[in-house]
Amino acid sequence: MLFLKKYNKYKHPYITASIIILIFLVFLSLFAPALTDYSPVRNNARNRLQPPSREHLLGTDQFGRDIFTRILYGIRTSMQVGLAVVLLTVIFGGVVGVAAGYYSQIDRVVMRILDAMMAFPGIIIAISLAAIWGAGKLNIILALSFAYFPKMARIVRSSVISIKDLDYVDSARAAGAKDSRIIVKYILKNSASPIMVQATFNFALAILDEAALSFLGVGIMPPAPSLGAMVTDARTYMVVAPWMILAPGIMIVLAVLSLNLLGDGLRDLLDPHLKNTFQK
Amino acid sequence: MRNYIIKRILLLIPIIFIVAVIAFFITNLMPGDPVRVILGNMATESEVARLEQTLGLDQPLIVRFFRWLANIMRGDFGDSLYLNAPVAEVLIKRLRPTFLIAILAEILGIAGGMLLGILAAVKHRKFLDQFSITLSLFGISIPSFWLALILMYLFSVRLGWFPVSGYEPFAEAGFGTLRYIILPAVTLAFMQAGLIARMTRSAMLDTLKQDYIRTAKSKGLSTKSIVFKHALKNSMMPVITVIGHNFAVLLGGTWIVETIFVIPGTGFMAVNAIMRRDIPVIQASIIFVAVIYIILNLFVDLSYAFLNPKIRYN
Repeated sequence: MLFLKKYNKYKHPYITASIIILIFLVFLSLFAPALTDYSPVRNNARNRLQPPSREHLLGTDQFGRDIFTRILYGIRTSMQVGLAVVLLTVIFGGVVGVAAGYYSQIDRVVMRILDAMMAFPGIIIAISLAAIWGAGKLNIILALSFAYFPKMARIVRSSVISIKDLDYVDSARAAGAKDSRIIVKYILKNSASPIMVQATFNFALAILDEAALSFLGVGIMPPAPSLGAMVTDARTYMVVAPWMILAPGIMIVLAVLSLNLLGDGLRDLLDPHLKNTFQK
Repeated sequence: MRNYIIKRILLLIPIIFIVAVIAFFITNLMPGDPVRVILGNMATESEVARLEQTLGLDQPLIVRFFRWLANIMRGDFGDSLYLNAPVAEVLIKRLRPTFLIAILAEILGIAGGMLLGILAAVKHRKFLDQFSITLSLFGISIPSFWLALILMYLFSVRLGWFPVSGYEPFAEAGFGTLRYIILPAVTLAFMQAGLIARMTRSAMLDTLKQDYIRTAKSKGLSTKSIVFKHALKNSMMPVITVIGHNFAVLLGGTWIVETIFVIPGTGFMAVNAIMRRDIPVIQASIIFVAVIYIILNLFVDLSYAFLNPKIRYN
């Protein structure tokens, strides 16, 4: 991997810092059940809206659920959604991008369609699709992937176009390599950098947008834990229970910030020419 | 230049057509039969059939699409299923608060973002640079709905400087309207400032490396005049592009902040329409955002061609 070859944990402190935070968050989400004695969904009416205390580090919500526990499970949801969206985006975007970049006959049509899709901000497509398909984890994963894949497809396409006429690809073709082999072995392998950078930004964006969808009530449905939905609850009880609002937001910021930091770091590390591209 | 403009405008036709296709099919695949929603559970089959016929919902999807397309070309987006008024009329009535918020947010975002970006580039690798990188990273990482609530809690609930929510139009409240839109605009400006600062910084750093800047420096010009007279103008193109690309994101953001601050703009209307399956309103709202994005980016591209003749002849 090019990344590992170029990466030096002392020379790239931002990457190191973001990786440490991400490992910590992955740890929290993997071991959530072991880290807390409470259930993220079971109500406990006697403990409603308790301020932070020794038993409930971050207090409790309107159903008496422990907020610390809800946060652990909430970040778990964020990570699952983010990871799934990244995988689907890379697959869809990769296939469409390679097809458009490699086969110039369909390039024009595909690009027009992608241009039109990019006229809609991701969050708007995602809200509309989540509303059509109904709320739920699987549906928002599909909705967000649908919203993000055009950007990924464009990035893959331009990378494919810049590579496909280079001499070493020509010589592979002259040696009789099939299209499929050229695409996988010579082109995709060398477009890994921009794909990785964009995938990292998409991960961050997916966590933000999942939270926004759940906040609006078209994402993860209660009582399932989601950081966004926790902010919705906090909004209702803002005056009587202000402690409810800080923790879920800080958790989202932590995850998104470290992913954006990682994306920046990877971009500078892998491809200095990319430094003018930004997440949308 | 004229030929280039005409060519660019003709290129918009297929894009707008596809935008319409997406908007129509997304909304018509919605579960929940709008006819039954309107009539309620007690409706008889014949009532349902009659309303379906008046709304044209008994026709095949493709026929409905072209009929709908012909209508929206004339500016007729149909009637809202709940507001009992033509959608176009409702949308226009609600434009003002949305544009006020979006424009104020954009002004604040550009001012803050460019200031941060320029400072960072001039003080490259110094404290101010680190500070502005960090701040802009926060700008793009903080969820707007959360920031909105934090601002609301601090400035409205605690300090009482602004109303918690609601809106009064300019005609009634005069400049008092600003009190309602400042917090939503600041929320959205934060993210725009982050994006613009990052782009300004990197564009500026590129420009400052150029030979003509070294010439200007060796001529003895002050940093101020080098930055503002020579470098800034040449760093503007990528910055303008980010602003153009992200204005639609800003409009998407109004969907969220208008809902939080209960401001009767197009975003609040769109989110409500989605909750109620008010299809014509959803279609018009989506198309509205997309068309603004397309027009804005046409201007961005044209300004490129205007500034750089090479693009015109390509």
